[in-house]
Amino acid sequence: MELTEQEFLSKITVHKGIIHKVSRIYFEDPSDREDLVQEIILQLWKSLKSFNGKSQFSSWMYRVALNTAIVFFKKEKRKSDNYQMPEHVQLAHEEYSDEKEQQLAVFYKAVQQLNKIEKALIFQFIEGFSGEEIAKNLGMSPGNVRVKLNRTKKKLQEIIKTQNHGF
Amino acid sequence: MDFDKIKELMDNENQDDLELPISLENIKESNMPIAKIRKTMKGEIAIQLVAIVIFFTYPFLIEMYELPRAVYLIFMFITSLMTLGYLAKMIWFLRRTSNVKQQTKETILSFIHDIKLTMEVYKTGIIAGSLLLPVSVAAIFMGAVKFGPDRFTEWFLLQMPTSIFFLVLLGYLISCVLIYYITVIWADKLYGVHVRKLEEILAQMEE
Repeated sequence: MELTEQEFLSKITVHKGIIHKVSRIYFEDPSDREDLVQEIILQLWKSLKSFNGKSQFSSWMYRVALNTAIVFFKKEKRKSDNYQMPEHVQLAHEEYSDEKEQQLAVFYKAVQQLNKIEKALIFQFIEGFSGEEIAKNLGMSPGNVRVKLNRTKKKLQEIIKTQNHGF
Repeated sequence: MDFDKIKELMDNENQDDLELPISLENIKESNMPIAKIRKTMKGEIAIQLVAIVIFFTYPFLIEMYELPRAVYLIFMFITSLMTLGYLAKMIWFLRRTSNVKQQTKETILSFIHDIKLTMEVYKTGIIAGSLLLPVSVAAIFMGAVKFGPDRFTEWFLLQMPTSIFFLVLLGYLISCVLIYYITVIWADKLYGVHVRKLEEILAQMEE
């Protein structure tokens, strides 16, 4: 697809929610998220020529954004990619203006305990992708996706339960 | 856990903190592993260029015998050409590889492949170039007038007792092995870390 820089930026602005959510899922620190957002935009721009319009622009954006987040390493040393039962891990019990905001904050905090592939699985599941679509995007077998997704959901629930939250 | 509710919350979350750029001008530098490697290599090329200038200037700053100087310049020329040639080729290669538009597994595999290939060519280039270095080093030290008579010419023409010849050969082989291991460790430190991280992700997909 051939677009000018401005046309490209307008087009991704329409779907900026995808970039926002991917960055929220992958990084907690705002400056890390900012770096990832910039990298995603750059990779989208560099990959634009390969987009042939056979799939939806948003589907292509999901794929590029997720792959960028998975391959992108910056500042990740501080984060744990290997989940262990986090008895000692304490989620911050911050003050939130409303319950919904707090639930989302707890969710994002818990997601940080997942590894990169688990994040990709849970994100696509939440976004409503079918098992087949997730398998196709990640290059895994549908069976493997099903098993890993179930495991990831349980793990996420355990993390949240450990922190005395539940929703 | 109600994932539909989570989706709703995510969709309705305030996204005002995400400001997309009004131009791509300021974000044209990538931080992906391949881009970082390319950047490191560019830095290395710059250092090598400076080193080459220094290496080629040095024999003219000191008084040297003719043959050692000629041998030094020829060997340094070949060494420099090999090293720079490989590095330049790698940068050209890295420019046209690795993208994130494929399936995730394919993306990771292609990144691993590209980085590993880069490492191998880098190591080959550096090692091949470095194997000529002992001769250049011998020429610059043994062929300098201030260190006494020209012992390099004798050495270079193999005019030495057999026992000394084997000692020289042994010294050369030891330095080759050292150069090999230093290069391997150096390449691993610079580039291997990216491969290991990507392999960890791949393992997470398959475990």
